Amino acid sequence: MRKSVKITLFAFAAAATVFATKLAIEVSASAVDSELSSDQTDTISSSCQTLKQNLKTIQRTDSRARSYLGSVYQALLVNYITPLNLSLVKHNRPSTTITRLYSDILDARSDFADKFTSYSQSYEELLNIDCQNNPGVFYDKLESVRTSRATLNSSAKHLRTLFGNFYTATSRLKEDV
Amino acid sequence: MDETTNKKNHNLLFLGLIAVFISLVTTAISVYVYHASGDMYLDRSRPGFLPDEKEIKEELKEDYSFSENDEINDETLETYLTNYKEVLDDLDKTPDPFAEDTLSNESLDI
Repeated sequence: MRKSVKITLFAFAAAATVFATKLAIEVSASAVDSELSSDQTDTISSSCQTLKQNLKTIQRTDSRARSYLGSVYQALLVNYITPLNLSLVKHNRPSTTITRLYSDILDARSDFADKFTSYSQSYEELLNIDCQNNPGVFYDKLESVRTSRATLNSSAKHLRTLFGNFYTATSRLKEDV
Repeated sequence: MDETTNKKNHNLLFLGLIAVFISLVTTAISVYVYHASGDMYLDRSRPGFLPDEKEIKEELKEDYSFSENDEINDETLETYLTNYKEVLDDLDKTPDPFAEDTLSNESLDI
């Protein structure tokens, strides 16, 4: 084999080894992050009922928050955003910013509703797991519910930002009138 | 009891069974759709999810509504923005909805 080919193969093998080692370290680190210690496993098993009771209380609080946020979103859309958008079109004063925000808000609200449904279904599945006998399975599901909750949280924050942006856009419209 | 009466009773029983079967199937479909569509999670009339008295008192006041027929001028937009701001303030009563910390190991004592 020619020397240059040998060098190339050696360099390729070395790079592959470095990459594989780095990947293995990352994978094992993430595995350690989500791994349960034996103390935690015991805690989940022994206080399974209390844990579920706490989770049910959180579920009720979430349901209340969803209901409250839903009613505020609805009020903003029905009483403010949609009629202003229609009025602008009717009075031949279309605003691209307001129309775009209106469309973004509708999309974001629909996305929020979908995410809440997905989160709630995941939460319900978590409550149905026997944490006393399957603490590992329970914890894995809890991790997945946490991820869904984080997505839902950012979805609600995104909607709040859009409603705020709509207020700013309307203030600018007022200045231009 | 003659044969005709017997047959009538038999038919009546059969009709009743069909009615029960149809109602069971339609109820099962309804419950499935109620669950799968996610409507169940928005339904606060479920046992354990009923709004408490304080919540009912805190219901939003919706005494203002912009109309698509309203003029777009300084005055109407001023009223619009004042009322809009009030609703935004209502929204900010829940500053961090579905906060991630709520399900942390520390919060759940795991």
